[in-house]
Amino acid sequence: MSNIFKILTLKCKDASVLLTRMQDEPLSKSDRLALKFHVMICKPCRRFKKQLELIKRVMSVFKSNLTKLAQLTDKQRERIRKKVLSKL
Amino acid sequence: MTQLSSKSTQDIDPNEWIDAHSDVLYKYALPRVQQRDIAEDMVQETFLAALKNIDSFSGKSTIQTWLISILRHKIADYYRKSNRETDENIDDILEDFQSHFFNKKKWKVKLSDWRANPEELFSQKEFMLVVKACLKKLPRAIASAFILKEMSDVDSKEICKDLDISESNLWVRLHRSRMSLRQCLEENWFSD
Ligand SMILES: [Zn+2]
Repeated sequence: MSNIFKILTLKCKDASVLLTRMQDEPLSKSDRLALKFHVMICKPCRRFKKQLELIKRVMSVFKSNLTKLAQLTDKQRERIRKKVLSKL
Repeated sequence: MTQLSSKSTQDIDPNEWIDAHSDVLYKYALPRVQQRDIAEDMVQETFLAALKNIDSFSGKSTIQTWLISILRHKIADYYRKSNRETDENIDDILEDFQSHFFNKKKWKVKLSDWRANPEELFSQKEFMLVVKACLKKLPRAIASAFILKEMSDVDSKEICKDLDISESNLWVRLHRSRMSLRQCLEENWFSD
């Protein structure tokens, strides 16, 4: 009963919270169902969902770029060395 | 007391440590703090803390693993300092935030069709710069959760522990970060 109630009453405002949450953890079965139904009938939320997926992907590109670029320069290393040695 | 694993300060050459581990530590820190100078400070402080507390190295893990765990705590401290929003009123904070985007529970902001080929989009330097600028615009206190979530492989519980916040606080922060980032990209890239 409450599942059906949730499906019928879920609105964009709460759907948006579930959609962002879904990026990080699995939703409960009833939330998942309600959301699935809402997204089916709601164009803005459908777009929002796709946009979140793109954001997720761009962040992972960022992560790998930063990791690749995270090259300590010799200058930085010497600066670290100097500070560490002077404070020991 | 005289286990093989316990080392005294005399056995350690700080120079050797710095040569051997600074790259790995920096690679770990940079994605998580996003700024080169801060990452550099974190690495330096990690070495200092490690060298001063060498006695607490149990020898159960490698030196590098141990250094990284120290670094992780340094990063957590750094973020905790910028974290002024407590767990109280987290529902009110969410409610207030949502009111900028929703009118009577319906979207009031524009959501355009981001018709984009991700690979092509991500290869555009200008787009990546906009994303970077949008990330920078996020309030530090909420962005820290998002950056840690997306840039590290640490799970949610650990992030809560590091930031000293409840899980519902974390979810609200992640929600606000994603909503704000989306809004910023919509305004600065996708709408004409
Ligand atoms: Zn909707």
